[in-house]
Order: sequence, then C-alpha cells, then structure tokens
Amino acid sequence: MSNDDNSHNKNKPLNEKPLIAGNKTVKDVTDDISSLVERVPGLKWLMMIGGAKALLLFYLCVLTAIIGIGMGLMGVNHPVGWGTDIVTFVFWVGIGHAGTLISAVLYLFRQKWRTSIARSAEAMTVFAVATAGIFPIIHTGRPWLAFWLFPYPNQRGPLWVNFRSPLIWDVFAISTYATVSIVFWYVGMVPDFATLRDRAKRDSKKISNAIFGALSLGWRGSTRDWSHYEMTYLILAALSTPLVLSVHSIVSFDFAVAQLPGWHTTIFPPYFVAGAIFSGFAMVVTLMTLIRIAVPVFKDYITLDHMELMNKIIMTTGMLVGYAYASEFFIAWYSGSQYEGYAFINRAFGPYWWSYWTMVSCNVLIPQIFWIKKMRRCIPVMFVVSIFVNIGMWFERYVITVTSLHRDFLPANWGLFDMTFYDFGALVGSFGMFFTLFLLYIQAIPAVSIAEVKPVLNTGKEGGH
Amino acid sequence: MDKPTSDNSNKYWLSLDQWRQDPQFLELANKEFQSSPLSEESQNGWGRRDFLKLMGASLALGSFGCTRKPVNIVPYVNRPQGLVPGVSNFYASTFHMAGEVLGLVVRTREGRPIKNEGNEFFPAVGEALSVRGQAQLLSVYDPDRLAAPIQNLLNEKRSNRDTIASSWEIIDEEMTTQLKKGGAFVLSGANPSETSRKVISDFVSKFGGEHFQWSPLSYERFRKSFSALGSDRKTLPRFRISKANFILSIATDFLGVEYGSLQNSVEWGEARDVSKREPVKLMQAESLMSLTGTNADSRVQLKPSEYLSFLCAVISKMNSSSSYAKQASNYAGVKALSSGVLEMAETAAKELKENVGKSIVMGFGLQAKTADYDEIQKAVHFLNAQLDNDGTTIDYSQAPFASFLADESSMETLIEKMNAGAVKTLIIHESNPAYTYSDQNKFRKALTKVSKVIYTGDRNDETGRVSHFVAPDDHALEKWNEYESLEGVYSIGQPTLSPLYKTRAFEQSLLKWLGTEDQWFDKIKETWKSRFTSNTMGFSSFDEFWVGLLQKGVMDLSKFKDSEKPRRAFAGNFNAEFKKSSGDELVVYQTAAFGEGNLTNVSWLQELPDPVTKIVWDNYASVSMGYAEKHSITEGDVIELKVGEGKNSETVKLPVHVQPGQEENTIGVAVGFGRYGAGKVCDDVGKNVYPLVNGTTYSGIAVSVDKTIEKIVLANCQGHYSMEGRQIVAEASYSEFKKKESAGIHKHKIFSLWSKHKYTKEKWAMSVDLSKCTGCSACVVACQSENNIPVVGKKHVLNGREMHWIRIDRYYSGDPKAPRVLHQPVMCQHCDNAPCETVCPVLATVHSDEGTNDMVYNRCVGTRYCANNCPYKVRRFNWFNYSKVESPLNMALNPEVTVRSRGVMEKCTFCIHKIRGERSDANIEKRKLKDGDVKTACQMTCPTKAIVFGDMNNKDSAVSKKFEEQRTYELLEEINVVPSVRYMTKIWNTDEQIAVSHGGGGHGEEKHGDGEHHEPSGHKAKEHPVEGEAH
Repeated sequence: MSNDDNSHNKNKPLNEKPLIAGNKTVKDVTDDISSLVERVPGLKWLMMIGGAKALLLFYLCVLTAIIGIGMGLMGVNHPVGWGTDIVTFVFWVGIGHAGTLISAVLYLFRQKWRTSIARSAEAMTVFAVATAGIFPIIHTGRPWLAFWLFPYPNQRGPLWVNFRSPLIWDVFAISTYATVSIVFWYVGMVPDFATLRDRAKRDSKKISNAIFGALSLGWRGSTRDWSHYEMTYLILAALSTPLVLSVHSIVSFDFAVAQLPGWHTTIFPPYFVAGAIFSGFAMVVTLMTLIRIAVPVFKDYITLDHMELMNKIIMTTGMLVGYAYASEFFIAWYSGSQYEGYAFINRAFGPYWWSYWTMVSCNVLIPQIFWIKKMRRCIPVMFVVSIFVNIGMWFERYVITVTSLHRDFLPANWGLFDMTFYDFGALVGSFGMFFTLFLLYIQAIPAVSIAEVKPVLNTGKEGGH
Repeated sequence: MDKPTSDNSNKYWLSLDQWRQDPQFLELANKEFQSSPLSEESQNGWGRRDFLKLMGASLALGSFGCTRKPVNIVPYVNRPQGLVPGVSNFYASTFHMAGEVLGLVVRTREGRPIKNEGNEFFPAVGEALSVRGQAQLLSVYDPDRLAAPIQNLLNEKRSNRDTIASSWEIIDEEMTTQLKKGGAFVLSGANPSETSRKVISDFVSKFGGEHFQWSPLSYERFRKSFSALGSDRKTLPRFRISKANFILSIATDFLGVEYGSLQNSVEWGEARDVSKREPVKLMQAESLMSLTGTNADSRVQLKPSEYLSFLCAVISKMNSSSSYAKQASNYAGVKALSSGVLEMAETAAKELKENVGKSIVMGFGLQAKTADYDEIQKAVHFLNAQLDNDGTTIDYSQAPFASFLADESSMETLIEKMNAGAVKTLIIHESNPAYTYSDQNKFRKALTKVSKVIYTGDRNDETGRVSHFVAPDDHALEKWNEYESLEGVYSIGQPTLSPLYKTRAFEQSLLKWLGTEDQWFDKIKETWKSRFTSNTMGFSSFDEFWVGLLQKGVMDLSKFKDSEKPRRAFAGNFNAEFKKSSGDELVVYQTAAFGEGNLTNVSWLQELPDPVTKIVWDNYASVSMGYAEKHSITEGDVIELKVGEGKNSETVKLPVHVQPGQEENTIGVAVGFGRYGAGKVCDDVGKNVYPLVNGTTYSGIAVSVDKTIEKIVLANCQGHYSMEGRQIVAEASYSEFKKKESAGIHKHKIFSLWSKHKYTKEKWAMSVDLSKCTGCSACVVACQSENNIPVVGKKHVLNGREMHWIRIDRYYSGDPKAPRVLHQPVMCQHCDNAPCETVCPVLATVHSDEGTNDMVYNRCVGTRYCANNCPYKVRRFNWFNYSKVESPLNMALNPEVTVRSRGVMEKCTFCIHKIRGERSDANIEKRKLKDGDVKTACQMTCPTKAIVFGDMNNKDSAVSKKFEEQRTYELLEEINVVPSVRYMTKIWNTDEQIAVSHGGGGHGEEKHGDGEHHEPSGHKAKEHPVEGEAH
C-alpha cells in the first residue's frame, strides 16, 4: 500500500501532487485509521509503552524525592538559582508550539497538507504542555504552595499575586494555552469520535459505543452539525493563532524582564518564538518518523512530502535562531555594557563553552543539510537531524539560563553549576511521561483526522476509482 | 591479691577481676553488651549500629515530616523575678580564650543566652567583639559536651581502652586518697584570673606540686625580650596604631590573630579614617598572605630565614652610629637579600626616619617565631628605641596587656618532672597538650609516669583520652569567674545560665579536694573585696561596688593613666649567625577562628570563610603561585610535608591551596585542625600540624615536599579573584584622594523615566568604609548568631549553598604574584528600585515605607526568581530543612528572628527586629528614634567602625554625614537599583597610581582573571564620567 518514493508523481505539477498516497478511497481512510483504535495493541506498541511506563515510574520516584527531601537534591545553587527544571520547562513549552502552529495557523492559511499531521501535532502540544507544567511546580522550594501563584479569592486579605512578575504572566499564558489547545484538539476530534461510535455500534461493542458516544457529543453528521463545527473550528483556530506568538513571548519575559546580563534583551520574544517553532517541528518530525515505523499504514497519510515541508520549516527557523544568536552578540558589543559584553564572551568561551557550541552546531549548522533535497527526503537523516535539533534547543535554554546566571555582576559570586542525578532524572523521566501519554493517545484516539483527510483525498482527480 | 575463698558468692567467674568484684570491671561488664561492638570505629561515641538505628528512625520520621505534632506550651505559673517573657535580659560577662580576654554583654532570653555582644565599658575595645568571642556562645550548647564526669580505663600504653560513666563522688573519693601521695601538679593554659591562680597555688602548695601555665602560642618569649630595653615588666605593651604614621611589621598578623588584635583593629579604624587624617602607612614583610598583609600598603615577600636579614638591612640604612647598628649592618644575611628587598628596606628606613616617635616596628607574631626570634625582637626593640617609639607609640600608659606567664617552654620543665616521678597527680585545665604539644611521643611517655591524670575539658578529646578522669569544668557562660585582661582592668565572668549538665567549676573542685567547704563564688568576692578600698570608682560601700561591677562587668583600676616614663635605653648585642637556607621553608600559622585549636566544634567557625583564602572546613598547605607552577601542582592536590630526618621525622598530608602574594619558597599550614574526639563537627576536618612544629620554632622550618596522587577538593566560598575591570571596590591612593576626594569613583549619568520613591518616615541606610574594613569577618559570625543563620557543611558549600547574610568579598588586583587585596562586605543592599521585588510572583519580598526590602517567609513559595534578579546575589535559599538542629543547639536560636523552613528565600533584613524593638521602646517613652538607637549586629561588632547604620532622612545622622562625603559610591550604580548601602573608596597610603580613570582604558589592569575580560570599544563613547551627579 505504501509508496515512499512517489515516483508516479514525478512529472506532475507540485500542486497536483496527492497529499495522501496509496489511492485511498474514503472507506479506506476510515478503515485504516479506525482499525488502529479498534484492534488489540500490537507487540511493538506494547514494548514501546512498557519502556515509556518504566521511565514514567522512574520519573515519579525522582519527583517524590525532590518534593519529599528538598530542591537541594538538584544541582541548582547560589548563584545559579534556576537550573534544569526551568531549562526543561522552556524546552517542553517550546515543543508544544508546532502543534498550534500546524493546526491553527496553517489551517487559517489553508495549507491542506497539515491535515494528516495536525491531530498528532496537537496531541504533542497538549502532552508537551502537560509535561512542561510539572517543572515550574517541582522547581519551587515549597511545591505544595505553588497554587499561590494563581490569583484566587482568599482569606488572606485577600492577598493577590504580584501582577508585575513575569512568572504570573507565565501562569496565565501557559494555562490559557493549555486550555485552548485542549479544547481545539477535542473539538477537532468530535466527528472522528462519532465515526468510531457508529463503527462500535455496528460491531455491537457496547463499551466502546458508550465511551465514543459520550465523547462525540451527539454528533449526527448533519449539515447543521458540520456548519457549526466548521465555524467553531475556525474561531478556535483564530483564537489559538495569537497564542503561538504570545506563549513563548511571555515565557521569554521570564528572562528578558530580569536585569541579568544575558537575559535582559529585547530580542528574546521573537527569538524564543522562532526557537519554539523550530524545536516543535523537530519534535513532530521525530514523532512522525516513529509513527511511520510503528504503524506502517500511516506512511500513506504522513508522506515524505509532509516530512519535506516540515524539514524546510526546520531549516528556516533554524536560520532565524542563528540570526538571533548573532544579533545578540552584536547588541552585546554595540550596547557598550561591559557586563553584557562579558556575559556573551563567557557564553562562547567560558567554562560552559561546550554547551554554547553544542547549541550552535545542533541548531544552526546541522539543519543546513536540508539544503540538499535528497537529505530533506531521507527518513534516517531527518530523524537524526530532528534529534539534534531537540538536543540543541534544550542546550539553548541551558545556555541562556545557566551561563548567564553563573557569572553575573560581581565576580565574587561567580560559581559553577553541575547537574546531579536528580537533574538528569527529571529530564529523562519527563520523556517517560510524554511518551506514555503519546503512546496511549495513538492507541485510543484516531491519530490522523479522518474527517479532515477525506476532503483532501485525490479521489476523482485521477482515473482508477 | 586476695585468694579465692569459698564464701565468695561468685560461683563461676570469668576472671580474677570479676571474682574480686572490681568496680571497674563490673562497670565494664555491665556496659559490655550495651554499646556497639563496633563503636571503636567511630571516635565520637557513635557506633555504626547506633548510627544506622538513628538513621533508620530519622528516615522514618523524615518521611512523615509533613505532619506537625502539636506541642503543648505552658506559661510560668509564678514568673521569676526580673524575667519578662519576650524581653531580652543582658548580663555583663567576660570572654576568655587562650589568653584573649574581652568584655561581653550576653543577651539572654527566658534564661538562655542567645548572643554574645561586646561590652561598651571595656577599655580600648568597646562594643567590638572578635570572631571567637561571638562564636563562644554556640559552644555552651555543643551537643558533644560531656553531660557528667567520665572515667577512661587506660591500657598499659596509657591509651584509652574504654570509657565508663563516672560521678563527682567517685572522683572526689579517688582524689582524696590520691592526693595523700603528694606531688599534685596543675597544668593550665594562660589563666588570667587572679582568684583562680590563687586557688591553684593554694592547692599545689598544700599537695607539694607546682602550677605550670603553658600555651603553645604564648608571648612569653616576646615579653622576656624586653630585657634588651632593661625591662622585666610582667605585661605586654599596647601598640598605639592611631598615634602612628608608619608601621613596619615583620610577619606579625596584628590585625588578625595576635594578642590584642581586636584592640589593634579598633585603633586601625581610627588610623585609617581618611576623612580625618592621613592614614597610617603599613609595610608588611612576611612569607604568607596574612590578614594584616592584605591591609598593607606595601608588602615585602620574605622567607622566614630572611626576616632578620631584612631588619638588619633596615637598620643599616638608618645611619645609626651605635655599636648594635654596626653589628647588625654587618650581618651576612643582608648581602644575601635581593635588590628589590633591599630597596624596600631603604624605603622602610626612610619612612621610619621621617616618623620618629610616630612609627611602630613589630615582629612578635607567631609567623616570626623562627630560630632567630629573639634576635628579631632585639632588632625591633633597637629600632623602636632608636626612633623614640618606645613610650610613645608603643606604651604601657593605658592598660597594657596582662601577660599570664603562660610559657611556651614550661612544658619542657614539666615533662622533666614527670619523668623524674615527681608528678603523682596531674590536673590539666584549659589546655590540650595531647593535641597542641609538638612532641607527642615525649609527652605521652612522660604521662605514663603520672599515676592519676585529671582533665577538666568538656569533652573526651585528645587529652581526655590519656587522662584517667575527665571532670568537666562548667562552661564559661555557666560559671563565676573574674579576669584581668589589661593590667589593672578587671572584669567579672557572670554565669548567664545555670549549668546544663552535671559539670562543676574547676576551682570548686580544687577547693573541695583541698578539703575545705569554701565556695568558689565567695573566693571571687573576696578578691574583689581586696581590690576595693573605701572609695573605689566612687562607690561608698562594697555591696554597692559589687552591684555596679555586675552591671558594668568591668572595672578599670589601673594606676598607669599618665604616669609611665617614656623611652627606654636599648642595650643589647647582636649575636646571630647567618645560615643560608636554600630549601623550602614551612610556616605554621594560626587562624582567627580557631587559634591554637579552641572552639573547633563550633560549626559557625568551621563555616566562616577564612578572611584571606575564603576556604572553609579544612586546613591546607598554602603555596605560592610560582611554587605551584614550578612543581606543577594545582589547588586541591595533596602533598606530603616532611619535617625532620629519619626516626624523628614527622609527615602530614595536606591539600594545596595556591595563594597569590605568597613568598615563592614557603609553605604555610594552619594549626587548629585535625582534632580527635572533639566532636561531630570538627573531628576529621583537616589535619593536625602541631607535630611539624619544632619546639617553639613555628616558622622557617626546613621541609621537604612530596607530591601524592590524591586530591581533596577544598570548599572555597569565592572562586574568582579578579574584579574583571569592573568598578566594584573603588580604590585610590591617598595623594589622589587629596587631589580629588572622589578619586577612583566613576559616576554614571543615570536617566530614569520614573520618579524616585518617597520616604516620609525613616529611610534606613548603611555606609561601609572600605578604607577601614580589614576583612576580619567578625560581622559574619555576629550576623549568623543574631539571625539564626544555619550552617550547611562542606558538601553544600562546595555546591555554593553557604547561607551567610553578610559575606566579605575578597578581590586581588594588580600582579597576582604581588597583588593588592581588597575586602568588601556585601549584604542585602535594600535597593529603592529593588529588582527582587518586581519579579516575586507572590509578593513575598516587598518594600517597606522605611526603605527596607522585607522578606515575608510565610508567603515565599521558593521560585528563586528574586535571587536570580539580584545583582549582588545576596539572597540565600533554604535548599533543605537546615533549621532543624540537634538539641540543645536550638537553644542558641534568637527567638526574635524567624527560623526559616525548607524552600524559603532569606537575606539580610537590616536587623529589622532590632529596628522594631527600638521603635517600640521609643513609642513607650513617647519619643522619636534617635540616631544610634538602632545598631545592626554587624555594625555593633565591627572593631574598625567601618559599618555605620542609621536614618538617611535625618540629615544629622552619622550615616547621612557619611553619604555626603565624596568618597561614597554605590555598588553597581549604573543599573540604577539605588541601593541603601553605600561604600566608601578604599584609600591606600602609597605613591602608586591606583585610581583608574574609568573609560580611559584603565580597565585592562587586572589580567589575571580568566583572561576573558572584554572591553567593548563603544564603551568610551557611551559612558562619560559625570562628576557629582549621583542621583
């Protein structure tokens, strides 16, 4: 069924290239995608979820230790008050960005190729934000009081939060983002749930019928339903679009609003957004290559053309990020501030030079390979590159957080930061959480939007069907 | 030995001891299965099993730590008189440690002392208090103190076989029979109490013994050296630094560790008050970098074997015609000096000649205790006599230091007596010879000849373990005593709490063993009665006088007010022979924290950064940068130091610290570490280097060095030396300051969109005069004691988690091999535009209307954003639950300051509890707060008065006046956080050009940092110096 090289499309104009390969009929699509949810999980999936679950359990142990014994288990110290918790938090929030971009922005721009990857990208967003959300909580000294960051009516005066603090803006930005992403994701799934409900009814599966029946909110597929659905979806897409820009801008304010040399820069909002999209797309590529391996039928839905387009975006945003790196250096020099100047020289040539050059190589140099079309379309290459980009983007946040803090204004305070077992544990373990959620999603929810893929099938355009 | 007879009830017996029902055996047998069989592994009485048991229990408890158990508190039914719950009581008392005597005011709350403060009535020092004076408080609550007497069962080698509980009854009984044998000797450290000395002398004379006062680091040789000036006074002179213009110090750390260092620091503060006078110029000739060396305007790096040569070189340039001067000038060592050193000698001679009667030459310090020590003293006395300094800047006119005749050589005599069998009973009091005496084999061997050894220490430490009984003396804060620190200045040691344990005052024990019913307290009163004449200090009756004494704590009865004749004639012959030394030389030094090795179990002191190296929790071999390069050793490499040859050689392995400014071929090691049995805090911290000492020679000891492959990471609180060309400590020379008072300060043009904050009430502010600050670190301990600051241990210091609210940043500038050293105390700067306040999401750190930046611990969630955004990095985070301490250490906590729990940020509060307390007092008295009412803990203890605190809204306050001076600048002014703490330029009295014209390219001066300093070329254009435009 699968057709990786798309050789029969070679002589056609680009816009007529089929978005879904394998000459699917509408029924094929429904069967292909629904069957994945309906069948008993395969051995491959079980092995993968087994691994992810083990990692998740490990993560829970690490979190318990950190909360039970103290933040001091991690490497953070004086002067490096924020460590891998914040690095990993920003990393995961960044990952989430591609989801919203693909589902909302590309939807508004009528980029039809988004349909087959939108669902998974959105799922990735939701899970990444959920994973990210843990970190600000465990990074506080008293996580059991972290709810004080929410401005809720209370009996302490009432005592409100400090609306001037970027961390409060963060709370709003992230919670809004998480809410909108979940709603958007869910609304998009309603027609598919209805399909699954109908199929369950047909096969007399009572439990599935009940669950999907509830989830599909009484969807009947009438024109009225569709009309409302399309309008809701459009409005939600429009609501999500500014969030793509706002969330990471606000996350960047955590740094940019501080007066620390290396943090205090106006370029951070666009730089963070570009970086977020960059890392988000890299994560989508990583996940999609894995899905294509785990579920071969998806090769028809997530074709090499999709992957190539994403790789182009990766290369573009990679260069944007590279531009930001260069411009930071220029401004550090141009500002004439000796602290700023030192902070940047120290980034590149100080004790953490390795993290800086890891970041530059992974984010700027390695994606350049995508100038070559063959590489853009080569699954192993893009998988490796996407992993590198994710490593690079984690290090970007590491560079910003750690190298700025470890040497600031007064040299007497300078110190070093070393990751401890718990830093690694929380970082690695968070992948356990993310992958567990993602694998459960693949098994429980149609991983490609049935309803959205059907309109972009090339049925009828070509002979044969 | 009795024969076994049938009427003995022991049917079966294990040993003849058991059959005889030997009490010692029974004790042992009873204990046999109680203590851990593995307890020998752990010297501090913690067997592995005990530890595991406790750890298991604490883990179990720890995991349920979230539940708070209700604790019932019960108020007094009948309130004790004079005690109001919640109100501090202050008692005047006295601090004494190894010859250092200082006046104390002990603040107590509900019957427990919580803070040691200086006594304002104490002459020459006033409110200032030393590091150790502050830290002594914690030692009373030391959990490792003995709760009752113990008995050590010694084996044939006289080392400890087992320790069993004992009681005062047993000891008293034992002593009654023992003393009948006669030959009862007392070995004590310096004993400044006349009454105590009298009781001891009564005791030893009754039982046919002698009293030896011995201290490894005493000044007896120095005192005796005054015979060259025809003097045999029993006292030591005071150095009137404030009267001097030039000081030449030969390896004497007179601001840091030597006798009178606190008094010297007080005078130093006056002498370096550049607003009032030309600061005294200090030339320090030394091998290591001492605290005094860091304050010196010029330093000469000498090997210990060159100290005398240098002095002779100075003498040779003095153009003196005396025969001594000629002999000294011909000393062969002078020729062996390098030209650079000779030049310095010429400069010194020139300065000395210009300051006749206004200079001081000194060389009495521990580091000067070379083989030539006595000759060095002679040369020093010659110079001082020649220069008319004797009697003017070095005098006995106002309360000289009482010397307590603790002789460094008296131990030799005692050992001889012990070996001769004359000593039947030896009582060791306030001395720890089994640790501090250099020739342990000799001492321990001699000790086996003594049939009973009683030790009065409060723990079973080195000396305890070679003694039969440890009969713990009361802690100084628990017992009555009286002291003479300065001649004719007597102070009273008042108990501030009743003894926590079953201890007994040492003198009370002696009185008991004397067979009298006399009370120790009555003896003290008697002494005072003998001092009291009908109208002493204006008191008409003794009872009134006594009450007055207890209130003031100190009485200056010295009759030397203005009666001392100046100038003594020098009479001495130079008779040193020059021996060229080519190898490495060892210098043994003492630290301000531990001295000869006292108070080592006080965690505050272990975690007090060394004023120079900033290293905590270790001693180390300090080597020069050149030495490290030559032998390719780096910080933390362990080297083996070997002193002596063959059988008598001693080796010690120590990690290396590379010290800028140290003489190339000397190696410095500190005593006071490597304790054994002294407590959980200090056991196994560092190594004992007393064995390396050669008799009474502490300096210039020939040493051979072997590298090892080991490495010990030293916990250094400040890893980076350089200021990176930033304006952090502004410095200038005095001549530059004279030309322009703001020399060295680069002011920035500050532009802000926002108007400034308005403070209508008080606006609290602090001024720190860097010219006065010596870096002594007394403020650090004072703050720790006042504000319940936890100690975290070496492991966490290595991770940068020390908790001090005030730290002293130390920078080096100039050539790293001969740097200038700058000290800068940094505490929360209480910024008007505080960057921490805006970023806290939960408003846990907020601005008060009095300009302070307050922490609301209860509200803190612990995001640490405030710490990240603090440009001074003064905020400290409770990574773990540090406040949980072993009982009874918790009794040292100040109830006026919140104890912080885990996950909470903390920092300097400007002692806000004191502000509130004083305000409340003022309100009750219906008056306004006066300038000087509120004194922060750091300010109070600062001997040089470098710290001034007050209300800057009050134009007449001391701090406002300081702020008006041109020397005042704000740290990191350019980021416009507007700190309430302002610094004053460090002024050096030197001809060098120091003040860098910021923006004129002076930034590149410090090249020894990481070599990464980057100077943006846009810099000059952007930042024009704008004079006097501090916002």
